[in-house]
Amino acid sequence: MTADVIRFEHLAWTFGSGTLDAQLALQDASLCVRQGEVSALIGPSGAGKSTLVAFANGLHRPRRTGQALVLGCDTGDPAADLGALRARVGLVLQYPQLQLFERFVGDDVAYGPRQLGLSRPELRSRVLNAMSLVGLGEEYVDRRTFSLSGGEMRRVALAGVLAMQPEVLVLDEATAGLDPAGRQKIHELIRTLRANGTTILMVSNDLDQVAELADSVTILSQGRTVASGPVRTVLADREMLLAAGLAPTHAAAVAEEISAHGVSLPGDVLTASDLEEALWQKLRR
Amino acid sequence: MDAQERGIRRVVTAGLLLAVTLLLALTPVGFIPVPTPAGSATIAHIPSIIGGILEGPLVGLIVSLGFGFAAFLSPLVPVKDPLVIIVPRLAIGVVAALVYLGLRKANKAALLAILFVLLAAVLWAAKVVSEVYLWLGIAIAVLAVGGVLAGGLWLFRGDTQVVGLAAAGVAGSLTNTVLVLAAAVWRQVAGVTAPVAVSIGLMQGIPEAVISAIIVVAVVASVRQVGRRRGSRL
Amino acid sequence: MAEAASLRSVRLGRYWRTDSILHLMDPRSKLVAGGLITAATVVASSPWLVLMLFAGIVSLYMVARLPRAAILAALRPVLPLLLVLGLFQVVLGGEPAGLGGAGIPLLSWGPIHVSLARLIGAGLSVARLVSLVLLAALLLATTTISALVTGLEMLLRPLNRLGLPGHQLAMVGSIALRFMPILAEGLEAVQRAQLARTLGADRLSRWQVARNARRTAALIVPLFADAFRRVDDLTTAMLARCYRGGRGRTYYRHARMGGTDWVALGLAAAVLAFALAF
Repeated sequence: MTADVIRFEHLAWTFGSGTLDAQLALQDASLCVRQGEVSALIGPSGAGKSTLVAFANGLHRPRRTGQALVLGCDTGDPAADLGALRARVGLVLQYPQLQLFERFVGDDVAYGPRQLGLSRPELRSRVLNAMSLVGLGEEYVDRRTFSLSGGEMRRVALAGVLAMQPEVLVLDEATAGLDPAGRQKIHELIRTLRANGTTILMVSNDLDQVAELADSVTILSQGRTVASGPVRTVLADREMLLAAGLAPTHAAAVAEEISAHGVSLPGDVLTASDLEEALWQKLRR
Repeated sequence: MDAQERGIRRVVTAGLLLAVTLLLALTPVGFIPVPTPAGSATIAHIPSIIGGILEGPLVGLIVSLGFGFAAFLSPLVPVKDPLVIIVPRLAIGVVAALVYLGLRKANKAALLAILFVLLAAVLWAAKVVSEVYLWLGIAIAVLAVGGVLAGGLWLFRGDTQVVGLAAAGVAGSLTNTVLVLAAAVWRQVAGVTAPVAVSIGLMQGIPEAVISAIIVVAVVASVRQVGRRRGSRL
Repeated sequence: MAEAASLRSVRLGRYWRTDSILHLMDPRSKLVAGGLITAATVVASSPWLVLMLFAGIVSLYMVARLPRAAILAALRPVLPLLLVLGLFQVVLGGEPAGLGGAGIPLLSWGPIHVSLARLIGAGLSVARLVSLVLLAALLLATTTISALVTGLEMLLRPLNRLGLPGHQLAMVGSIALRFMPILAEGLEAVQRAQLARTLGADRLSRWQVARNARRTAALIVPLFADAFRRVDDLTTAMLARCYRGGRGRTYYRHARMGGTDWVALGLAAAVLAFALAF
């Protein structure tokens, strides 16, 4: 049996609770990520996705209701060692390029691991390793942080989290606003990390991306978990997706269009390669 | 950059620095924990200093005015006398701008000379104070000598551009401390008498000045790409 | 920096939507009248006058049809400071003049003498501070930020004739207010991101000066970097849209002075004159 790395049960969250403009962000959200898998969290904007992933390293902690277990650590327990947890769970939030502050790229990437008390060569190799994972060569180490382009800054920020060598990586909309080449690089990175045994939770509202990368998926709508399970099962449920305010994948939409014109295709077409396969089968027949 | 663009840039810079000021003055982010009785040092005056350094005395003045208004309206500042809360703060950005402009072109010898003149002035002040409160005078003298030694050492290692930034940071911060406390004594604000003001000034003003220098250098050196260091510390 | 401290609750007063006459007043007259009453509260020396001003300001909350929660919300953040200042006053403060025999100590303990006059003096300065805090909160509770900026800009317009850039000053103010929430959102994101790669305790002791400074730099440098990035963007956008300062600019919102405004101004001026006279 593979262990659950992240297990959220019935979590609720209100921003500014107790004040006059309290804002309910999560009502009843549950989520489960197993060891070594890529799990996706999807939902329309405003569903509470970012609020939910902040439970993964104790940025948010369960208040009265629900439970959040991450790597066996119960973050609702006031005695939980969040410092230790944060060294094992890497969290890349939206607009990561905003978090850079050191004058030189290498120093910024080293900000996290420097606190681990590593020797200098060890630190340097970790930093270079993390930078090469995101496609930044050694020449970037001494570049000035604030002279980089937006895309480069984003990669530096990602490297800053990878340099901590987290067991679990949480990516909040890591590819939003990137060009197709940049998106492709992030996809490759996710595959590489998965092959290295890192457990990944990715937040996305791009169903095509999820269908291609993820093993399991959780769907959040208006602060509630409305579905979860293996990608193929969940994304095939069109009524549920529409009710949650999401559109099926492009390939699924095309398949439906073709079916509507009298050519019946199987109902479980999700990705472009599924569609290609189904069409070949049709043509061969 | 033509005159029109420069004018617009000034207005926009002042506006955004004022936004940063409001954020620092009205939220907990602007208060850094330090080991003094007050428990925290403010950094809300730093945008005024940076405005003065980057865009000149006028922008410094405008951001400082905004800082004064923010402090006046802030529910965290119970003293509501404009002569204590707003007027003295107008000088922060202006002083920082003038110090920066004055030191920008100075070489190491000139900086060292200025450092010693400052030391002499502070020692003289310490002598005057020691005639009233001996311990306070000795404390000031020890702090001054220590500060000059550290400053001199650092001067020989750092480069002059950074020294100018740090000096402007210190000068702007001390302007805030000294003028506000002087105004509080003059206007007889609750409980602030001259000795209280001097001890608050030393205990609160010095850490704030040091933090101000560090942050001004960090921000301007990062954003405007000055500084001698050419690579990371890896 | 326990859980990322919420910056959504910026500690400035908030706007309450009701349709009272205070809400309908011109922002210019509210600013001027507020200034006059502030001055009256600062100069008022007689205990009775201070109490009357305090009562007057509280009753304005009823005129504005604000819930009692609005008063509490305005006072809650300052309460501890007010208590400390009040105690300071009792121990070290002066005694208000004209209270005759009230200067006799009620309690003497070492160098500390607490007299009735000192208690009254402390009560008065606390009442004065509370009045001013309530007045500032009242202005913000009955006026939207954009109306406030328009009002300020119109009040500053005569400065143009003196060669002072009144319009540009107002522009600075409106840019600041417009971008403050945007920068706050960015700062909140940075705070979470840095917390996610910071090990050790969430909250450091205040003796860990170096580490505190480092954590602060990790928040403040990105904040300034964000602000400067926006300076570049906004300057370009304004140049592209041919911004030319205040000349020939028309206002989207036309404020108009009505009867209530003039009555309010007259009342406020009378209050100040009264405070100066007594």
